[in-house]
Amino acid sequence: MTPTPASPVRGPERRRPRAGAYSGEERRSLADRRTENNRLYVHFRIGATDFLLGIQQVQEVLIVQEMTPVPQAPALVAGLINLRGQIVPAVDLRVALGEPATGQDTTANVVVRADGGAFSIIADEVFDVLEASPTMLAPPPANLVPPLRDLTTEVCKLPGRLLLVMDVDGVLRHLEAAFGARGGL
Amino acid sequence: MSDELQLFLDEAAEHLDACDRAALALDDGADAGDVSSLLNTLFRGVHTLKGNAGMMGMAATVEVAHVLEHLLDRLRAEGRSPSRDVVDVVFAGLDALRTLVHLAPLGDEGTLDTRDLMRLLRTTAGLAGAADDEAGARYPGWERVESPDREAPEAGIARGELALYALHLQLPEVDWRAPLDHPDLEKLLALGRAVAWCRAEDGGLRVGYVTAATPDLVRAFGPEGLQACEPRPDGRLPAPGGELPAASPDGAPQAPPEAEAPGAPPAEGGETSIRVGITLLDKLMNLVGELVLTRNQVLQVTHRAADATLFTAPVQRLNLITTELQEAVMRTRMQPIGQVWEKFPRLVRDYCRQTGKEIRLEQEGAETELDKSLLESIKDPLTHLVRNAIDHGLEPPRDRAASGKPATGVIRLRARQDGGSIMIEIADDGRGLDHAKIRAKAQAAGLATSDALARMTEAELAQLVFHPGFSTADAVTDISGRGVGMDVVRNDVERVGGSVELTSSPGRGTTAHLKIPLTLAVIPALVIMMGRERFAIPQGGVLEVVRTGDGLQRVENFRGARVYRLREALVPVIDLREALGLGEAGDAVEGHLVILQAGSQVFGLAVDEIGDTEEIVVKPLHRLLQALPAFSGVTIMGDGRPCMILDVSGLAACGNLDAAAAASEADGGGTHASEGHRLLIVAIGPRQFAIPMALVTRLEDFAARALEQVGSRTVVQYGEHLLTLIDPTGLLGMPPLEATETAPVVVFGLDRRVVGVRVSAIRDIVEEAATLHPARGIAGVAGAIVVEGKTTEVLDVQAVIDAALPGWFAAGAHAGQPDVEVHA
Repeated sequence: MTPTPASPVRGPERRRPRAGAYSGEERRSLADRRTENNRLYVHFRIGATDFLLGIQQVQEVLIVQEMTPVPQAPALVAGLINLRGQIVPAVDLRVALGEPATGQDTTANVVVRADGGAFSIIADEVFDVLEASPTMLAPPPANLVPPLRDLTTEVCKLPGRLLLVMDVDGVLRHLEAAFGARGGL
Repeated sequence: MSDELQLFLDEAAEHLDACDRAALALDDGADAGDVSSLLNTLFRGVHTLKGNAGMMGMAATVEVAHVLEHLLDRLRAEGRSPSRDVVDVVFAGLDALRTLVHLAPLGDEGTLDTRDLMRLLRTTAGLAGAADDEAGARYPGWERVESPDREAPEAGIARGELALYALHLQLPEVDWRAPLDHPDLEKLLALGRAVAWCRAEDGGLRVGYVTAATPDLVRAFGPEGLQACEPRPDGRLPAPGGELPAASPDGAPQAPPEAEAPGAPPAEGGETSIRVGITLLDKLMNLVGELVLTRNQVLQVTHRAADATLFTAPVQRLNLITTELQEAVMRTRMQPIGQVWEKFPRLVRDYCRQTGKEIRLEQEGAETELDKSLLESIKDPLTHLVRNAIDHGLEPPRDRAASGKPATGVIRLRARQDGGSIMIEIADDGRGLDHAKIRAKAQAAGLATSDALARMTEAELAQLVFHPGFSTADAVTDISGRGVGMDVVRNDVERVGGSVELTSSPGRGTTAHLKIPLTLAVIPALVIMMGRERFAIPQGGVLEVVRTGDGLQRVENFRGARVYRLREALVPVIDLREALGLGEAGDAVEGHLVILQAGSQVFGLAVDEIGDTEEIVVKPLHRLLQALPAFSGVTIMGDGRPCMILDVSGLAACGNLDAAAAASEADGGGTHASEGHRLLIVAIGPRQFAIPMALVTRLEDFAARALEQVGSRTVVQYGEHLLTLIDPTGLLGMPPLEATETAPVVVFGLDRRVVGVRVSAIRDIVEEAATLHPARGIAGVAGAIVVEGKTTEVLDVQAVIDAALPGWFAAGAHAGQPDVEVHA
């Protein structure tokens, strides 16, 4: 897979594509399937789960040194980050996926464009931009466990593994539910 | 809304404002030279508006503007100052135009019935004078469209260089009242120009057209609908046959020679300006804010750099330029307050015409500038205050004469900048506030007890007017109408971080003082630290900051409620850590309290450390985070990290103070009996007593060494006064109180005098709807009630005080003050 000029990863905080993110077989499978209708996805990992996010939905990817915690907010909101004057909340989905919250000061963030304001998704690792043809995508299996099911629109079938295409609206719904459950306080 | 429409609306508002100003000046009796220039201004404004409205296809607006224009032209021909009645008609026309322009974007232009107005305008124009309409006579019955600053075509026609044609067109989609900017006419208008136009008898369009081209060429360039092209070698156009719309019986007047091209706003004082969208300015503001932060970071880095000398000069220049840029960008959003004030002369005039009052409006400091969005939000409160002043503040001329004042009342508007605030005063020289009536009203509404009211200063009484309880129709007659919606005024002003106060002197007038921050986007805030986290508190809500700890006043835990004695008041304390759910409230011996005010609720906020006061740029929170009650926004600190801004009212809600305040307000609004149900439970020796809270002014705990004996009395230094302490044990037939380290005291107040009653311990405040079992013959005991299942004696406060200080109550009664009403 060749680096794409449309990569949203930019600036000094650019993350190098990690060698070995895709196996040789995966690369061939991607190359074989290239068509006009290929779409670009940002590939990242949260805990043990690999996610893809449509590149149109990604504003940028950056490393954040520290963020400001938001008291009273659900644990899902890890804090606020300053994106050149734009203040965006950072969402820690590890909590939703049943993994321990990050607790680290330095995190990789995938900033997502969304209705009602951009927000950021904290990732353990951001790999690269992946080009996938529509034939590689399938609806999520019906037996996918609930938190993942809500956060997924499609599944990308790599030969050796499955990558989940993240549903930004699903993440927002999840957030809203968390705020709702927090109650009127 | 399209940009084009927005531009039209903006310009229309400007033209109408300019017209209003001119009409007001006319009304003030301008001399002959001014009259003609004022009428020209009016005419130009209406004419331009007509042209613009035509381009937007607003037929009704064009129609009204057209007739009004006609009336103005007649007045101009008359050349003398129009009567007040005629100016009234002009105002009516301008008002109708304003309404129509507002309706237009909604597509509701046709919903306004203008028939009566049109009749009025036409009649007035007829009465205004029958001077020959020379301008309209050139092409009788035709309407001139071309820009009047162009050279008149007659000379060219006479020289044979130009030819005049009367064209007849059938272009159904072209409104005959609108300028001819139809695409089908583009080619034709490139070849020559239209000098006049009107509706043809068959509903088509007639155009007087001047060109150097031959008739054949005109026909070739004309649109499909061109039906006739009649050369007019005599330079005259035939009178348009058929009926012209009634709107224009004798044709439209010609625009004055100095008129500007349609579309140009009236440039006064030769200012050059362009329109810029407010969103663009907001973006600029944002970017400059970012630049400032980046500059701060660069400065920090430079300070730390090993070899900073290289950087020093350019960094200093960067520093300076950034500061100047920031100021300049801030200024782009600033507008003079006169923009709001300019509506008031009209308001005053209309009112005077209706009621026969005579009022002079004086303005001072109209050029004082403040942020555009702030200006919008104080428009309504200011209008309300001015209306109050003219309606209720100023007396009718007869009353004024009776009190020896000039018949003409004066309302003075004054604005000035004072540091980061704008001070605005609205003063009238009317009758002033009636303090007796305010007292009566406040008591009737249950806002305060009679003795509390008796103690209030005039300034405090004036503030009562802002209480929502005063906003009743009843108040209109009861207290000169002030207070109607005054709570709304206060809310509006406080929402933008301002404050409002009333001062008044009976018979001499009332003044409303408003204090408004210069700008909304940047506010001063106090930065505080809680553990590792910083928070900003808007300075507007901060009353003061106090230290607590050893040797200082402590925060006390009173049955789980933390309280702090702030001089004479007892304020509830909220621990920020607890309120935000960051952990348990610390019982740290040393700490800081920020005393905050949310509405009428004053409370202390316990924090770890106090930082600096900084000017912060307020940024909105993400949609989801706006649900969090404790925060109103977020800002970016000098180090680039976001910092949450605390919401003072929200904090009060987090600490459950809101409910408590509401409850106590409900009590205050109720009868005294319900207040009597809140009971202070104290211990005197082994016995437990209840005291109605309504009687209690404060609770104190004095150090035993602070008590002094003066003769037979025990006193304690209390603020600037000496507080007499009564030991009730004698009256109650008990052994004297044992000496302890501290002396708990219940303080009672009456008419600025206070007295303390010593107790062994202050136990609790309970809400009990208890029935009093009266007791007779027990000295100092009014009766007994059951509190939480325990029989409790009710202390007869009056008897206790009377026994120790005979005549203490009487002294108050002699001074004409009401007695303390003892319930229980």
